[in-house]
Amino acid sequence: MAIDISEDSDARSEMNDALSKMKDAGLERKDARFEVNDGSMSKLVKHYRRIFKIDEIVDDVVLHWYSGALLLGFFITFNAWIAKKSTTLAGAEAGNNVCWPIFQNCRDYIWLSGLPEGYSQTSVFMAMFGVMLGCVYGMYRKKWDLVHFGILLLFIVKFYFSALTNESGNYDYYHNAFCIIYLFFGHKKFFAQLTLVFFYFLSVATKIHPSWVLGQYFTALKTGLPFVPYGAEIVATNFLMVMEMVGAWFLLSKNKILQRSAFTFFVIFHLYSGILVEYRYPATVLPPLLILFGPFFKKPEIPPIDFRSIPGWSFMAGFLVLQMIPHMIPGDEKLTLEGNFYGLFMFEANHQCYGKFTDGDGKKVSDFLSTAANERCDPYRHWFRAKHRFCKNPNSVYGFVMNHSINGDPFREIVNVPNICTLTYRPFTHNEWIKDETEAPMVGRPRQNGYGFYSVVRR
Amino acid sequence: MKNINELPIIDLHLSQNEPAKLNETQELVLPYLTHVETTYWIAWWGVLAYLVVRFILLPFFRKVTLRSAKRSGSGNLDSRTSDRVASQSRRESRIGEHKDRQ
Repeated sequence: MAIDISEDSDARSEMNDALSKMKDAGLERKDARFEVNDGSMSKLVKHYRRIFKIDEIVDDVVLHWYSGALLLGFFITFNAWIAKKSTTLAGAEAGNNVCWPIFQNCRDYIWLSGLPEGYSQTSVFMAMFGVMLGCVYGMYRKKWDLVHFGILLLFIVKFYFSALTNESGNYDYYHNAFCIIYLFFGHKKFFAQLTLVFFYFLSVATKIHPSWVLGQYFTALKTGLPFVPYGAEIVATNFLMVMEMVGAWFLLSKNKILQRSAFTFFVIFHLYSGILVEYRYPATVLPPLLILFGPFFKKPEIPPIDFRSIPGWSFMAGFLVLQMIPHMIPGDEKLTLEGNFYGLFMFEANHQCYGKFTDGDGKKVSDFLSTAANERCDPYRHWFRAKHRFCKNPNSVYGFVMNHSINGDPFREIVNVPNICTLTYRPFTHNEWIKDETEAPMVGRPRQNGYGFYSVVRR
Repeated sequence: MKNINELPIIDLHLSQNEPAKLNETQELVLPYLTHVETTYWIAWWGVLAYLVVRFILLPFFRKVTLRSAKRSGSGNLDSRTSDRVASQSRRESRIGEHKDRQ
């Protein structure tokens, strides 16, 4: 069959011309739309976009999905907090609230009332529900400055409630870090990826302890480590430590096989960990992991070394310092709990404790016990609650004895003081009234315990 | 110091559970625990130091050197920098030629 080549090439060039005209027209329309937007955009919005580096979010589909992951984190957190007593006036008066050691007068800033005393706390949380819906609408309309502003509001509210009580778990540490990077820093995607990997790495610092090196956390549990045969716990715990210390960095590898292997490992790890920690931790960490290192991950970002990256790098250095604080305070922080909450502390030790408060005559006025492995038996918490309950009269005298066991090791009498009302708690140094493993006498042996908050008894 | 086995067992409503104790594997590792922990710490700091040097400090110093070399004039550029500049200009000229052909 004869083909007229010249005619064919003419037709092709005409088609190419038409296509390029269409493309140009499309680009012009797009430019015009931006011009209209730029024209009507107020100075405030322009400044907002510049200060918070919204352009990075606009241009990156990974950060679009990441915004959704942050919203999910807020939803899960606020769902758990909406009925929380410890952040309400009545709760604080009833002694439910424990302030952070670095902010011991936090009760002065509690002003909300929860059900059944009032509606203000639930109103705030429902307003935040509305903000979350607004963010979803912003995502649908691709209004990323609106989404960013909504997440900023949610973060401010979360920060307020977090400051009022030291009940926050490590999932909040993750979520807060993810939010801060998304909201305030340049190179958002890179630092979000680095934070996740760095947190795996930092978490090893709290695991270098018999809890994990010997696997004692899990052998002290009656039910052991899920699906791991008795005696093999030590292999599983050390394998995870090595993976978190070295393997996690391969999430950022340009070698596809290594990157995908590390990714698969950590996905399985989070699903597995949920058997113990339930939904909240996997729901906070898994979505960012899937978004940042899953199907969207093409090649690693080059670590930025520029002016814009200074806050991000400083933030990472800050995490390292926070993680080191408990190691700088004398004594085993798993036993004394001094400085334990500044860094990552998940599964740092299996706890059991019991103790009592006595009046000036030595008569018991209150006691407590906990056999829940994850109830941390922090002497500061018991002291703080009791001080606010008993020491309203300046001349009050109340004694305090507390025995604490970690990882199935003997109970040690870590506190035995004649008067809690005269004590103070220093957040960054060792407190003499809390005895460490070298001073605290052994008083008994524990039995194997369980995981969960259900075995805590206070009277 | 008291022998641990002589200590009384504290039940805390857990009388149906066995007293917590180390298993055989743990007993085996226990004498070397301090060494293992030290090794972990050395490895941990080692990994961190390697990554900081490899991905932050070296690129930073390279950048600073490059910038100071540029500032002091192209005559002072080291061979690597001049190679990079040359390859960049070659790439740009190739792109230009390609565009011209189109």
